[in-house]
Amino acid sequence: MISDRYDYALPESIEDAVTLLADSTDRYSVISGGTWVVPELSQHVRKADRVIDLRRAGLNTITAEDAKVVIGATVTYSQASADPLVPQVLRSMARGITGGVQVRNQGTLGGSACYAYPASDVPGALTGVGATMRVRSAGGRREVPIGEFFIDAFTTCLEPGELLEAIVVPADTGAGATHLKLKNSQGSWPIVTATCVAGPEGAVTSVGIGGAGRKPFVTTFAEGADDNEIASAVREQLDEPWADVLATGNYRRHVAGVMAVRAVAAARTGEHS
Amino acid sequence: MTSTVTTGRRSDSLIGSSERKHNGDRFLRGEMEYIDDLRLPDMVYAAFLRSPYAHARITRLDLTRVRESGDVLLALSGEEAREHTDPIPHFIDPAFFGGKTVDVRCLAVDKVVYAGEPVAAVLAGTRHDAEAALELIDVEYEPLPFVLDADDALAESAPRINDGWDDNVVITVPFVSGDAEAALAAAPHTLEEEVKIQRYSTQPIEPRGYIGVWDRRERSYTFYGASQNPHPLRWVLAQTLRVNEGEVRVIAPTVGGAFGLKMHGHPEEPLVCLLSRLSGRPVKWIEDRSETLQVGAREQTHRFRVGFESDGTITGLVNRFTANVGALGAPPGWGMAYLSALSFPTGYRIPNIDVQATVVTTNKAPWNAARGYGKEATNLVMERIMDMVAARLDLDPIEVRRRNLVRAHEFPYRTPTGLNIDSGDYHGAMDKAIELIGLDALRAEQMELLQHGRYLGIGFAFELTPESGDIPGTMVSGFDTSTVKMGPSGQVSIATGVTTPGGGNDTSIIQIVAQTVGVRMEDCTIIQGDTSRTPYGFGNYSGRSMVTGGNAAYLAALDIRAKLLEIASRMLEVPTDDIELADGRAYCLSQPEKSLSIPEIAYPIYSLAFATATGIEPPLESTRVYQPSNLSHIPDPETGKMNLYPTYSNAVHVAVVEVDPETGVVDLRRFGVVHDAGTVINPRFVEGQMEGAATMGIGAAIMENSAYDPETGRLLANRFKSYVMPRASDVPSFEQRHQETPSPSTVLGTKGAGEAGVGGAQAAMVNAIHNALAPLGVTIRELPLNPRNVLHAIVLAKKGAGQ
Repeated sequence: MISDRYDYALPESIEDAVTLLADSTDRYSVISGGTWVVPELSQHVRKADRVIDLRRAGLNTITAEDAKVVIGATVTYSQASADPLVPQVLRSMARGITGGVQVRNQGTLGGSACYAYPASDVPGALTGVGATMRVRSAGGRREVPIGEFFIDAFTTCLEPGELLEAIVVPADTGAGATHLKLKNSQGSWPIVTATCVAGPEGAVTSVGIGGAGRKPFVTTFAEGADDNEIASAVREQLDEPWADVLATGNYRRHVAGVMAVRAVAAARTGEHS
Repeated sequence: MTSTVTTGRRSDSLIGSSERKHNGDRFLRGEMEYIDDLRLPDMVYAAFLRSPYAHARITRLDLTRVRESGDVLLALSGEEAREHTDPIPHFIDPAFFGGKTVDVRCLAVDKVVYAGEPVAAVLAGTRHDAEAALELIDVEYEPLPFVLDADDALAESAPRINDGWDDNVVITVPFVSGDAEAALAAAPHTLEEEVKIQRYSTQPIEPRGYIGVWDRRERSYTFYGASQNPHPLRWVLAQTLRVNEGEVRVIAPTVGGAFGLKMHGHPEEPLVCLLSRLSGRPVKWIEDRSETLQVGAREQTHRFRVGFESDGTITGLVNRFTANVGALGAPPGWGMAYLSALSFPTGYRIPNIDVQATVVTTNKAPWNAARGYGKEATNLVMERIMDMVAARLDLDPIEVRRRNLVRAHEFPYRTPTGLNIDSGDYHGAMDKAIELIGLDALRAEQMELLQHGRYLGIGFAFELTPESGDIPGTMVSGFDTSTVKMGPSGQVSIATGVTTPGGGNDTSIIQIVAQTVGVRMEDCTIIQGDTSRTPYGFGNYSGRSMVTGGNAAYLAALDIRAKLLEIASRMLEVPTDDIELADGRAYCLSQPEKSLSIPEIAYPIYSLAFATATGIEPPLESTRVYQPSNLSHIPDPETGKMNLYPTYSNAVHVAVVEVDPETGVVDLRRFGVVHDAGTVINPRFVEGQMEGAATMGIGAAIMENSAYDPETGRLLANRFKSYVMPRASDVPSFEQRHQETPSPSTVLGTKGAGEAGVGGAQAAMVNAIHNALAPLGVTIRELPLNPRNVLHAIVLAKKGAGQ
């Protein structure tokens, strides 16, 4: 049960939201679905003086923009998984989120990205597809490449007063685009994710890895790289693997290589999953 | 009266029929009241401050600030609680068995011995305010060195958990028969191995929850709680709260799963009562999942040596094991280790055994009972031994089992530890399991897949589950009581001392009674879980509800039946043996056109007591106790051993898995089980129990782990995301067959059902994974076999093989 007392704000627009943020003390929490933050509040591991809930801020739209798709920060997993504008690889990722339909109806891609929990699907998947994060503050808007968005476990580049407005992803990620995840059971968070998209003319030369490190990363390789080369490249890039009660760092390092190879193989054959 | 009579028409017998839960519609409509649904007038909420340290002195506890808070009605320290209460009686006191004991207080005084131990309580008008107020309690600790591991706790230099103890051993339990060392010395083959079973728990979806109500005018307590054992709990509360038993009433509303967790001895039980008395208000406390996950069970390391002949016949077994029971609490947790030792060597004929359990206390949270009650660990160890012997001799593991299992003609069979197994056909069950799973085809598929680098594994496990036990000197009793009443309407009310944790024993008892007195099930009601409305009984544990409460209800129903037959005989003018009671009527067998409704024969018992019913003692009520025949605590004059269990259900489990050799992930493809629970009253419920227990065993084998942080001594796996349990989508559809060898120890032939499944499924999984990885020569000693541990073993095996 949440025992703290805090202000609860439900801004009606992005402008109101960033104005509120600018006026807030350090101890604020921004929520979209709240599936990460609210349990932390109720378990007394997070303190907040103010909770800003974005669900009415008009950020729940999915729109096409040139060769890109703009996914609003409060788009839920269920919404993303059902919208044909969203690249198939992200739709499939959203359908596979652990926690059942309740979590998929409530949780959001933007919220998960901002929470930056290593053992989750969204950070690795957005890294794999090469997303751009649209960040908003009272001072204006900036666009952050995904590789610069995640700083560390539970830490993003968002400064005080900033929030995520939208996630911009390529509209076409290729026929073979694949998001694979390894987990201990149906109810388990992902241990490792591997996301692979095809470049122009179907070339597969990179894989995005989530869950294995403190932050997600992309490993690149030559178009004809063999399994050992891909697995080794992934493992070598992982200088500080993530470890928790479900899996050790060494285990994650090993299976990151395995899952990368499998994702690449699936992307190359065009058998997306 | 212990002879069995054939009742009702066999063609549509209620006994043996998969009736649906008699009040299932009310569950589906959400009409059942669980403990958290109860809202009493003026009710307030308790919250407990828990120690963040695994081991510490409390150097200061100041409630001044919290008492000044406007939201707080009352705050209570351990010192203050001690003034009002006595120590909580142990469910099973180790001192009775020659071990060491401790006084368990509801709130810690001076010292805490585990992280999560309650040190102070507050009351407020809402749960929110009560939890928030905990931050206003000023408490200072002086941390002490702590120990989490059993082997570490046994070291001379280890910190002592309990002041005044010269070591951390609660008790040592030996079971010796024959000369195991000599048998090993003489055996042509021996092996030595280790199995480390992780700490894991039971997690009913409804956590614990209690409401204490002190009635000032009546000077009595009413305790509402998700409790398995209302009558014994009443005794415990009266002792702890220093009142007469007559001043305590315990009511268990609908319970949402129990599995041993809701057996009593928890400090919060007397605390809600005391807080109600001190505040004058009803006090509610509902457990948080992080608190449920604290309660532990089953952390045991078995180190064993086995001697065997070249044909696989095992001649001797030496097994030393430690049980890490955490801090010693009042619930019956530690007794699981005692039962693990007692249950060796399950259903195998091993004449020479030397088993010793060392029960060790550490700074983890206390254990409570958990489904399987230690017997699951024994089954796991024995089934690993069978597969290890087979691997050593390059024999079929099924054949090794056949050579060692007790034969069908040998029952009753006295085990080396003194248990007296009632009945069974273990070889027959094995045959059924092989047929069920289609073993030949599976083995062919296994060979085929291996050619493609895929690792399919088939694991068998035989499981013996002594059930419905009675542990002398404790409130784990082997008898129970049921009352059956038929009113002038012909309708039946049943009250029984056994309780329902959410399964179907209530419905099954109705089936027995309805059939015996010839009414329809909808004419029966049943009352359980209220010390004022039910006869004395012990509730649910040890798969006992049908064995004790069911058979007691049967005896009581037979008393009613005899009176009904007599009055019907007079009214129909035919002999009693020409009458059948069924479907709400009394029929004349030889002249089927002659019949009366049950109300037509019940009413005269009340209305014509001095006429037609003269000499038939009214009313139609009977209270009977059932004590199974196969229980005796008078030690055998030759061996000094006792039989603690009347019935012995058994099962053969088969798991089919595929192991991903690159990730260690185990995919459970099929799971089959052949189960012998004696006479089955309701196959649907017995199968449901087995599915649930087997799922627990699957979780125990590959997922569940109450991991602690070695740096802080705190539980890391404190939510369902870190304590991973199987979900429905993690298990396949269970393939089940029944085998019925009625127990000669019970009137109806029933054996226990409900506990069996955990150890068998766990063992079948572990054996299947080893079978899959046999080409790599993998041995995994530490459970769970989660992907990390499996992969680690594969990597080690490949390194060993120089690959």
